Amino acid sequence: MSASPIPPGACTPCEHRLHRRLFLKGLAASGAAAVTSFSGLFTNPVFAEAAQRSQKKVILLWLCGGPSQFETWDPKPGRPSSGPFASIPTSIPGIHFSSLMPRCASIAHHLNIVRCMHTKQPEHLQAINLATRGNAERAGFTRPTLGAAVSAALGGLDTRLPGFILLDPNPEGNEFKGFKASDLSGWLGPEHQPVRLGGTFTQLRRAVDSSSDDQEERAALRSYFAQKYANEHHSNTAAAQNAAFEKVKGLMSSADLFDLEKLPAKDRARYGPGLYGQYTLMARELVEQGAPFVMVANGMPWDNHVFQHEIHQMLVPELDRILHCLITDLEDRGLLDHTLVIAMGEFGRTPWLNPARGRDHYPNAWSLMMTGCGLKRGVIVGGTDEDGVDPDGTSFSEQNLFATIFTALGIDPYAEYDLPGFPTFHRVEDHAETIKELLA
Amino acid sequence: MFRPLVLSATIALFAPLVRADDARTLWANGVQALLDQNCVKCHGPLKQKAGLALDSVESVLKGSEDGAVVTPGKPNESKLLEALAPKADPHMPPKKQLSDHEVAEVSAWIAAMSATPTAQVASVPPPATQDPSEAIDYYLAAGWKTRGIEPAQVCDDATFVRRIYLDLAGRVPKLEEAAAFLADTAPHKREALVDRLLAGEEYPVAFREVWNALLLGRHSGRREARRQRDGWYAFLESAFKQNRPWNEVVHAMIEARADKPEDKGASCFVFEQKNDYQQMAETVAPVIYGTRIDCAQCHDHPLAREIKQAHYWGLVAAFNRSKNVEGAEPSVAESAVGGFINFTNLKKESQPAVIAMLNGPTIEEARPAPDAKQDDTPDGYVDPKAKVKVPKFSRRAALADAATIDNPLLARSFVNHTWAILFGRGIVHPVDEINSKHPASHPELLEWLAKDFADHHYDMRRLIRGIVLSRGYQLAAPGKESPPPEAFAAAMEKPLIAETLLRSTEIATGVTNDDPKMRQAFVDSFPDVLPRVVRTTIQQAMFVANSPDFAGFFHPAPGSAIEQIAAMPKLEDRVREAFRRTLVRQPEADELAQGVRFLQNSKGGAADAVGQLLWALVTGPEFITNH
Repeated sequence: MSASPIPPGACTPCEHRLHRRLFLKGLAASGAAAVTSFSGLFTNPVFAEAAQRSQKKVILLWLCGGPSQFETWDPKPGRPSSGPFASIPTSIPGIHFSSLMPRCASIAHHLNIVRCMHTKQPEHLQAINLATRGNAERAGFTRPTLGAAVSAALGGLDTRLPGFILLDPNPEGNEFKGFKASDLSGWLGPEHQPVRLGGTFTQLRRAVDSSSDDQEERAALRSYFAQKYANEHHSNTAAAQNAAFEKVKGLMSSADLFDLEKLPAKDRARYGPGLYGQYTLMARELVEQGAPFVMVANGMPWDNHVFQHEIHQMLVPELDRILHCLITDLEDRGLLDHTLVIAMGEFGRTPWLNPARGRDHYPNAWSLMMTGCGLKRGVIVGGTDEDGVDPDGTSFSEQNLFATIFTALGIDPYAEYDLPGFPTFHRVEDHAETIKELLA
Repeated sequence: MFRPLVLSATIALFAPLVRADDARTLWANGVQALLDQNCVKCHGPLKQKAGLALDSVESVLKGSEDGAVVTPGKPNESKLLEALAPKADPHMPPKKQLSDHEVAEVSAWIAAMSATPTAQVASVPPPATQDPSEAIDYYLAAGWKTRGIEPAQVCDDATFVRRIYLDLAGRVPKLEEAAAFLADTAPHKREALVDRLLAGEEYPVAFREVWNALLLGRHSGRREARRQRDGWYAFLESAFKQNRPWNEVVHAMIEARADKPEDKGASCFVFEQKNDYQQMAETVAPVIYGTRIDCAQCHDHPLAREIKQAHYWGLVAAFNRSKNVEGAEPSVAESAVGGFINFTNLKKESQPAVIAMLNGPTIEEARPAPDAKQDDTPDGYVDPKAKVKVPKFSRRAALADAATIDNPLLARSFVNHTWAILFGRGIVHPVDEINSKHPASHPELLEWLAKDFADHHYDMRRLIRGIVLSRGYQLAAPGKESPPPEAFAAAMEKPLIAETLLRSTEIATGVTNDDPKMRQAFVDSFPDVLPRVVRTTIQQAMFVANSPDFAGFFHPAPGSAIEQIAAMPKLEDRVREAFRRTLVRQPEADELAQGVRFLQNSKGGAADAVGQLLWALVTGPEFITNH
């Protein structure tokens, strides 16, 4: 079950560490005369920082449960499928969003909306797996989730931060809870499991509080005993444990990044009082510090089989505010060019209401938002028919989505995984096409 | 022109490193995997391009439709090697160049093959004993001899008492238990301890914990709670407590009817698959066949020739008349009609699925004409009015019979799993891959134990007792040089499972904290049970370093080990006591000095310092493994 960290055909980590152009830019800016070796680059703080900033990253705002496309990105004013909310024009001529999203409407030219997602899983757990792993399940083989795949391809930059961070203040979440407890790194192995915050996983902040003087000494004592044991026995555990403890040490030194209290107060106010906003802000900070993949979730709030309109009336404006803050912040900081922001759930909602005035699961035609990281901006991809029942012409599957994500990140989407004893698997199967409308 | 030169130089470099006389070892340790990975997709059981199959030594020697591809002893005259060279025409694999090292490996293997057909490797003759422990030692010793390995010594009493408590009671021994055993001077005290533990209350729980995870997998709180509520835990525990014959236990799991009181809870095994028949097939296969068959869903197994697609769909058919019935107890009804499915192979040929056992027999059943409609009449059922219907002919019962009567694979599977639980690795590795692609390290031993197990009515306790009383189980840990694991010539490191780690932490610290939330936290961080690859994750390190749950064990509390140790006047004694409690041994001089220095320099109170010392021991590799 072992897997090499870099599948063949993939770019080597060094290729991701530094773009040649940026490297030259950095050289000019720093006024350094010469750099004699590649590895030497990273001892130079200017380059290290440049590399870290040019590193491509992902923030996945996971809208678990499946938000309604009608109350967000694909309103159907005047049609029976429309809810009680009006639609409003956006900064893209002729394009309307739900009136619950005024802030996003004002920056629509920075966003891209795919309105013709078409997937085939109507059940939560299966659909979450489909949308986060990018392919239908195959019994006996666990495909890594997007975070693990990105961690394997882009992680390992000289950063103390883990390759895959999952921020989720709500440890519960029905089927999503089961998903979180499952194997999220699949055949890439536990080193690409997410570092989780939330539930029994909220441990970093406590560590900051309890970092007494003894903390370091007891760790030294532990490592003394462990080292002696490893020297006298042939112990694989000792070595593996040692590596894990080193990583934790690195994390602990960045513990402030995981502490909501330490986030800038002004920003905290802007992102709003809800934990989803606060953790999105944390994701912004983490990405700025070099974390390659941060997924933000909050249990499973979007599954509104009852009181659809009432709950969406609370959730969508919050999402509107959070997305607006995040996109404008990343843009202001020059990070959006290297940071892919995706906001999506596992499917959409039905064009019709059920007797409880809710909308049920609908994978047949739904919307998502993705922008940044060199993608075009302000593109509305595809559409649905007048009632939002079917995609109008083109449609895209999870495979198309993943091919687009990997391409945007500069990762070969069709590279074969090198898995001894396994069937042949690729990052994206079946040579599924990218969503070309989005690629610059 | 340049690369072939490099190649020959590489061969010269590598050739002396391998024992030229052992083509079999070279095949098993590398060449087979190399060909499987690179060639067998087109030249193997599924496809034989140019009539060539490269999945076994026999098929390689058979050659292609154009003749031999390998001339034993003469790599340079072998077409196989020619095709691997850069710029060869035809070049293999078509779109890839094997590394020089890989090519050298194939070359060395061909060179080592003798020109005359290899004589069958002499099998080890059966031992002159009926005693499982003696038989194990006999076969292991034969293996050490052929491998030219000197095994480790038998371990000392302190090592043994820790090891056996962890394995049979699921925890470290308490201070007084270890002391009593060490002071005991009776000649057969290890045997006596084993018998006492096997008769104890903790053994059934410890084995239930392992088998629960092996049979149904680790799951989060709710699903585990349901297993407990529905009697699955009790079913497994009583199976170990009463020492029920394993074939009877498996029969009850597959048949999934609580006809007998002791079978209550057994139906969880099928019920938990939620009417997913493929999942049932995939879950039951490792238990009754000893091998996964997941790969055979879409085609015959690509590597292990004996596993056919028909076996996979046969198992699916055995379950596909079943349906969960919700109620106070989980029940699984079965229809008397329907469930006649076909499966399609890669050539798009459709075949009817019949229950075809991997061990040979097929369960015959009258099959209606394809367009005939079957009537689901009451006389098809034992009791037509029952809430949970039982058909007169039950496919599940038929499978349960076929799997548990005269099925040698059932015994082999249990023996290999039990061996792996106790030794840290199966005689066949990975533990659930007993098939032609994964040869046993000691095939005769596996057969002997499986036969003995079946002959003694699948007596689990006899098998476990036999294993732990063998010299092989009682070997000391290796020194710096570790023998190959498949030789079982020294004790292997086994990570403790979450439950064992929790109980052992409680004993070492004297703090009891075994609530479901705590158990879940341990399981979240240490989910593995018999993993294929042992890994330590960052989550584990974070859990022991930062979790308030875990930290709770190391705060001074009344009656805790910390209080008791801190009350000892001498620092040396405190360190000694901490070592005895956690690692069941005395500290060595430097460890003692290091521990004392830590206690002296600690800025907190005496009890705090002892808590930190215990933490440093409990979180180390020596504590979190059995070795």
